[in-house]
Amino acid sequence: MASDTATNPGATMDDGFSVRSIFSEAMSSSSATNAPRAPPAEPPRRVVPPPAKTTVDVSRTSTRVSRFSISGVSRIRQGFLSSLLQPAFEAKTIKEAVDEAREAAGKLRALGIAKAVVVQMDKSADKDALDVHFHCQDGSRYIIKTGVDVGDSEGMASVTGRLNNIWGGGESFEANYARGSKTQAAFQGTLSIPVEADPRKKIDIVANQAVLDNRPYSSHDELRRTLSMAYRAEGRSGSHEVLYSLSWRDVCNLGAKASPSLRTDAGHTLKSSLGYTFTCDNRDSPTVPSTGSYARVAAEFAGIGGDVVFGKSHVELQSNQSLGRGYVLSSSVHGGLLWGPQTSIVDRFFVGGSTSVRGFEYRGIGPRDGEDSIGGDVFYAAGLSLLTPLPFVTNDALKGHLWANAGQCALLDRRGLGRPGVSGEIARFLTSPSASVGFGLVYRHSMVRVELSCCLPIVATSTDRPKSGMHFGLGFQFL
Amino acid sequence: MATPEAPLRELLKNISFTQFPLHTTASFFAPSEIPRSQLHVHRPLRQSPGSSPTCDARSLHALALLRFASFDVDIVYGSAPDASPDGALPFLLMPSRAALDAKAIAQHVAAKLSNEPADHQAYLILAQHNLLPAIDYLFWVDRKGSSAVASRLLPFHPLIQRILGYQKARQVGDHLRVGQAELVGGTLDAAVLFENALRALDALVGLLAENEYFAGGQPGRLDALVFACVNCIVEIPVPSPLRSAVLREGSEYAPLVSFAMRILERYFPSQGDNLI
Repeated sequence: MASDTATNPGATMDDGFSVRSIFSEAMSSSSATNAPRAPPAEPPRRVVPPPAKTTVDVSRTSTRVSRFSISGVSRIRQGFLSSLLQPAFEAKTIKEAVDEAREAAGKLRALGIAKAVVVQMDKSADKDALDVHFHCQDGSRYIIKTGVDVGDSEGMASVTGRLNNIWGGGESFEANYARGSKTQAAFQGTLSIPVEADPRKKIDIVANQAVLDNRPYSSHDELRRTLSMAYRAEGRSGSHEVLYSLSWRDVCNLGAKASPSLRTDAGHTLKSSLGYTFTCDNRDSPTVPSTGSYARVAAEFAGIGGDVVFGKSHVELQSNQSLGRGYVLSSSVHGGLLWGPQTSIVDRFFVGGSTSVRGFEYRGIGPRDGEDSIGGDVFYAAGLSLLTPLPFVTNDALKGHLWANAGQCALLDRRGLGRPGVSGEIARFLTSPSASVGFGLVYRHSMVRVELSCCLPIVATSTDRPKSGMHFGLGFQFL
Repeated sequence: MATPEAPLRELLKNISFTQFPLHTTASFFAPSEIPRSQLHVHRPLRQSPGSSPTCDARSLHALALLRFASFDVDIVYGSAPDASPDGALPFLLMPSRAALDAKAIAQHVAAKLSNEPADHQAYLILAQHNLLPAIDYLFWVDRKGSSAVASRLLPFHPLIQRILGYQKARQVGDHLRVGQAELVGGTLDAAVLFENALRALDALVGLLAENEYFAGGQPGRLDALVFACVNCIVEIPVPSPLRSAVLREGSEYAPLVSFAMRILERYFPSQGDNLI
């Protein structure tokens, strides 16, 4: 691409911004040093001389960026610009200079500093050097939007306000208020600060509060106030996140019908934890993929201050294989382990529901005291899905779906796998999952995956809540 | 009128999924047994012989009611107030796994303590409206008092304890101000609270006279409440006009203190029993 640009001056790049180049002029010995600069909005058409007969290898032709200028942005910090352009100033060849200038322009757009960037490169007054100019269209200073989100068996309406480029370095602050079918009220404020002027490396400082109504499946409300700081970086292999979180949780409003197990978990806890998450996603679609794989590994350690001590790890793996003719075989495995002296319902795992093991109620697999699902310290879930084309349906977004799901969830303490007088429970736990099979339809919406499934639970424990029949599912991630 | 999808709906309705076999296996969960009723209360200020089993007047009141009615219960410490059906300790967890809050406990034992004179209801209200607010003030609003009992009443992380203590102090303060609105124009005046409490104690001393219990030969609901309140006033080491008046030498309230000590010795002989 860069080579084309170099030999075809004025070519328009199709990746969101344009590069106007006069490299061939710069490389030739013509008197183009005082060439007039194009105005930012509508650059006048330059009379382009016919291509020189001798071609220039831009990847070897040495040059350097001598000067840089930018116009059209109302707020940008000097230190941020220095970090942004350092690679361009370190470029040794024309190709490197073009690539780095494009990269810098892309970062300006990704960080919301500019909506569009036109990169112009001219021969510099210095010998064998280039002057780079960014003509920018200023980014929006603020955005207010409303939306409806669906996921994890919950519908939610939200309003979001966002301030962009607060201090001229791509920093943003976003405030979000949401109410949902399970979330009574949630507020979140996020200050996002790019590191090294790179939108792929960020520090996020988040404060949020949410009141979760868990009463349909466990007689309590959960009030959660969290202050967290995360460093996120996207690499070639995947994205990494290191998170410190200080979270004040309250299990409250139990009412008269709550189980004794739930009463044990009631009250206020302060969790201070450090976590790491690695995510690798090369699927062609996050909702209904046909190829690619997904892996997410998370680990969390709580006990740095606070009054909760535990270690927690969670793994999600998914593989998708196209079998041709519109058939796709998808397999998923999830697993998690929570260990600590006394675990709480707010930290435990839950299994079951339309986005988890189908054919069971939401949180319908695992420990249950009376009517209350109290979650487990260890769980696994696996799913195998075959997506098929449908006869007489030409729309690729709608597919047939055959699936089999299995999963199990248990406590590790004296009420679960650590019960005295019971041997071989761990082996039975691993080899006796609750399971279901079914068929249905899958629709790939631009935002979410919609499922209509006929579910048939085939194995369940005595405390599970199997739910046979037609199920409707809506969400992003399914088993 | 039949709609186009009616046949499909009818077909789906007729499919009985329960016809398909479901293999049920044993659960991996067995809930903890509750062999005896458990009364969840706040912790005591100190665990030593002769001291009260809990620092909280309402918890002690419920415990006394159960003891007077000969209900054998285990005392459980460390539970959060949120564990109770009404969000405040005490609460009673029964072997049937049902939970009763303080109000339900009082109703639960009422049948066994029904031999009280009719005018005791008025004295009960007098004590509830005058003694408990003064104790609430000492526990939550008074800085020395709240720092002495906060860790017992709010068994959480110190940071949360401090925030909740502040919230509770404001809540109690607002509540007490409402009660005093007519007297002092809506401002919280501790002196008025203590004065009201002392007047109530005056009335109760007169009622008790030389009797062993208010209700005569057997303790009743009024005995339980007065015992709990007087015990708290005596045990909490926070200087207040109320405590000074009750504990000073030759105090006119000495019969009430003796009454409280008598019940403590008789019904709570050792804290080591039935503690979880």
